[in-house]
Amino acid sequence: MTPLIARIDETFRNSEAETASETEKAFFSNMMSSAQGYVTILLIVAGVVTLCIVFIAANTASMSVRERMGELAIMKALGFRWRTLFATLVVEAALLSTLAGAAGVLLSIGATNALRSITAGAGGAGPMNAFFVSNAVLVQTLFIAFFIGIVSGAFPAFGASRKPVAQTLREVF
Amino acid sequence: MALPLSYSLRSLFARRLRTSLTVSVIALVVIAVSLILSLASSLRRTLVSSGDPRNLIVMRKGSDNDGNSQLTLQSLQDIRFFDGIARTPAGDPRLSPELVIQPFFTPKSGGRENVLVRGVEPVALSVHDGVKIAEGRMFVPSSGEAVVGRGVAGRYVGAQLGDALEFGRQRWKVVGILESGGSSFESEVWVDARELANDAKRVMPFSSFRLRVADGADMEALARRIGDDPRHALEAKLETDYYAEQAEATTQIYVLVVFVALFAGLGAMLGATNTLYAAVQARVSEIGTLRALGFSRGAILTSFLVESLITAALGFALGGAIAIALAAAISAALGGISWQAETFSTNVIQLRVGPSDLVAAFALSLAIGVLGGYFPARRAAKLRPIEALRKA
Repeated sequence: MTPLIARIDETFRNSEAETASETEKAFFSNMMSSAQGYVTILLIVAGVVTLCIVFIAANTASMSVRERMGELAIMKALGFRWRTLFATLVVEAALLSTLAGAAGVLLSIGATNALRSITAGAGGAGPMNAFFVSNAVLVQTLFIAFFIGIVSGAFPAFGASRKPVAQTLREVF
Repeated sequence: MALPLSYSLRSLFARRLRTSLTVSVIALVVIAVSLILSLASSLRRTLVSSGDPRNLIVMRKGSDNDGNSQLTLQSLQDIRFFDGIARTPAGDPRLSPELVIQPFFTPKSGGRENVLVRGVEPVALSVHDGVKIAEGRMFVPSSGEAVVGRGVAGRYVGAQLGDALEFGRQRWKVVGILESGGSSFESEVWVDARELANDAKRVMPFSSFRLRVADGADMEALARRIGDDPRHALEAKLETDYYAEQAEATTQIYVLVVFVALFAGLGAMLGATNTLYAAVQARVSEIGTLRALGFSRGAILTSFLVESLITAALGFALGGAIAIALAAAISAALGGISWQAETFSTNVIQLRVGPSDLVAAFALSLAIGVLGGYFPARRAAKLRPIEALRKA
């Protein structure tokens, strides 16, 4: 393809209308690179939203830990180590969060499919009607969801599993 | 009797960790929403402020922007002396024939962007009287000189005062910087119209005419007369309408805003609900006592709602302040946000969180406060005093 590009441009050199040929792929990737500022803002917003969700998930996790104070105290009294309890709580949060992430990914696949079928008829939309959830994005989102679960579960779980048994039991009963 | 405001305030301070968590969540939602809103409003402000309500733009019939309009020299001669066009002190019509092309420029951060180069005649400054030469001087026609907008100077390679700017078939010496109060002319390069037409080898020399309507003249009538002229297929519209149409691209940003506001807002609402439920749970005996003292259900409902609203207001204040600083920082770091319109010309916009963005974010945080606070507040109000006291 490169010799062809060179030949086209050579043909029109110093003519009334000089040409600058490139592949369609290069053209669109250049178009997108000019949207860099826009993408920066979207990334910042996505980061902010993720942080926001970490807080909300941490809040929810701490509510559920609080509800199970008695249960945890009894398990500790039975001889489970705090590390085991901590791990259980964190794994639980991570599992829940990853499942929720999977549900979210499925929804977004549905949404992008719908978007594509709507814009399919409209010509000239270029890369705009090619929104789809790639495998890389899918894996990334699941990882983000997993980490949200770990981070948000860790704080309340740490507090709860380190609390002395006697104090917890006294508080609950 | 209503519970005093200080009661709600103090109960917030009694649970610092939870309150600050909720405040942070609402603040984050406010940041996200106002940043996206500011993107749309900054673009809109840039474009809308470019139009002057006393100006008309004339293009070829059917063109929706001056980039795809072509006009002949003959049409300029024919409409130039129409009645109703303002005159300069020297008696020349304040009508500016302009040619636009959109060559590639290289941003300092790499890549390439189409920048709008406008070929003008000296009369242009009397039609676009918001445009001022802030540094240096105006170009001298036919001498390979250019003046660049403030936004262009900050963003592209070779666009500083004294640099040689490369586009088309020649190099242009940058002799001046123009400013126009943040409008889209600051994202343009201005050169001599004839020189540009020659360089771009355009057969038809002009893209559009901008003209100033004389004081007291009927704009509509003048626009109709230009549009109805049977010799040329022209169309004249208000410059303000023209730029408002260009700003319609912002609608797609608003779709994004709605999505983020809906999902993040819903999350924040659930967070606020959680926090307040916990607060109600922890204060059952206190509420029982208040009821026993004779405070009505309404008073307790109001008090909890007020607590939630204060949380939301704090979140808004924190988030709004951060968003304003963040927008300014992003804008400074990137040398302005580039926005490539469908017309291929790039607008370098200064990102700024405006009053309307803050009002929208405030409304959202109030909604989060009310909706998130209502159910826990209702539960608190519904507690029966005897049971509440017995539980304690």
